[in-house]
Amino acid sequence: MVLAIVFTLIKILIIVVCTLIGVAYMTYAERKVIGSMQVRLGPTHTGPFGLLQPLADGLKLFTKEDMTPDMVDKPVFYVAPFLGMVPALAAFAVIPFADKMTIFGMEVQPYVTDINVGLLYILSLSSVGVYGIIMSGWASNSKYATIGSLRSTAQVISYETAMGLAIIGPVLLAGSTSLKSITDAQAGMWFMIPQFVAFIVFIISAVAETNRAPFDLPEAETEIVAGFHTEYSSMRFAMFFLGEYAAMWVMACLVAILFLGGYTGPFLPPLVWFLLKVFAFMFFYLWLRATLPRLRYDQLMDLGWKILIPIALANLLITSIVVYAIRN
Amino acid sequence: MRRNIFETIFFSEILKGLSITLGYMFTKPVTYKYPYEATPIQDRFRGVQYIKTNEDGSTKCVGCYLCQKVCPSECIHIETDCGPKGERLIRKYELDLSRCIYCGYCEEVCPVDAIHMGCEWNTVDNTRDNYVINMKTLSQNYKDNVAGNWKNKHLKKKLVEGVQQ
Repeated sequence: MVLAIVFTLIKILIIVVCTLIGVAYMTYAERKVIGSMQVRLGPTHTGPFGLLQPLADGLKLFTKEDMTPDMVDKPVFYVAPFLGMVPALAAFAVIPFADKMTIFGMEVQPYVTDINVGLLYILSLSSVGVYGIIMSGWASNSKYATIGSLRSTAQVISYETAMGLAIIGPVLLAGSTSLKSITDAQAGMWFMIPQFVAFIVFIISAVAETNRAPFDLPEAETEIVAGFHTEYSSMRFAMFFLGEYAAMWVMACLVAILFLGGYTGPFLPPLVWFLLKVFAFMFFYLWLRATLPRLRYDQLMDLGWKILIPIALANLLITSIVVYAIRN
Repeated sequence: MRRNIFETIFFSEILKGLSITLGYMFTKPVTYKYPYEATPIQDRFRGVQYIKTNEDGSTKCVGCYLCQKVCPSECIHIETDCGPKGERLIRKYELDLSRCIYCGYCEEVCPVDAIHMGCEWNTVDNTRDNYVINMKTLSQNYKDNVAGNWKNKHLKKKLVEGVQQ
């Protein structure tokens, strides 16, 4: 019993540390990839190929002065960054990185837990993340932060609908909301093929859900400075940053699990397959950012409500009819 | 605006954009790593001036005041005097680099082909006085330009033979 708890704690520690390193090197990859897409170099100075740049950035953020503006609502202002970061990190608890394996004659499951409502758990956590954004925007007492947080909230809520509807397709096919059962159900064929429409809808809403370009209206630098974290500095800013990038990793993991077969794949070990799929989607995030201009607000809302949700609903209807016909 | 329904459904425009950025990802970056790498200096680059010298080391400048007259930012100050044989001596030839706009008019106007725009461009210094350079420095600049002996180590270009004459 004690051993199991210790094992779980060690696993949580490893996952959190790996996530933080992943977040740090995602910023590095972002600068490198977008740099080379814009025919320049990106960071090269700190360490070989600039590989120590994320560490330097982290140290800089740690040592900066922690500013609190006079007119903010202090308790809410202090709590908001944690609400932005913790749900994103907590979502990693249910993600199956690899199948159960045997090491030194002992069965090890390389993920924290496998609950039968894993998908709902992730969806609800990503909704809780909105509280951090709206609290920071309201508590900052600044027009840019308020506008940014309102935009972000509206965007996340409307795209969450489309995302939830798109998720139901794979869930219907797998007959479960446990992420591990969904992965195992794709041993024969990735759900990307029968659920191609849901796949496209999910990708679009995943990019919108994490407030990334071309849906990065909440942080539109040219209009509203930095959006909801305009008034934050030092570690509190870093926490928002961590939360945002961790949410991107969660979304990439979800795409890999729901549509690309998770850790299933021939020849290579399961963990490698999983990471390959996740990295591919993370690269897609950066690729989109280097390519597409930002949407206008009304275009954003039109795309969410008038196009994605009806398509997702139609896909849901057809999928459920087909699933019902096959099962009976 | 003309809208093609197939382009909308199949994201063909977005895919085209994505393919362009992916193509550029594999081209060679155009960045010069400046403090470690030389940036190219073009042939007609106008840097810090130099004044040519004769074979015996005396300056080619005859003190005609034309460069001082033509200089739009009034950065050249010349004082001349009469020598023992009645020739013109240059008492002072000062060029204030903090005022100079590197327009190259002095080079254009010089009747004896003495003052020229060089390749050196790094003039950073701590005090304003150091920006005023005199005839000695200008003559030394000529030697440095010819020899490729640069104050800032990034310059690789040497003056070509034709310019030396």
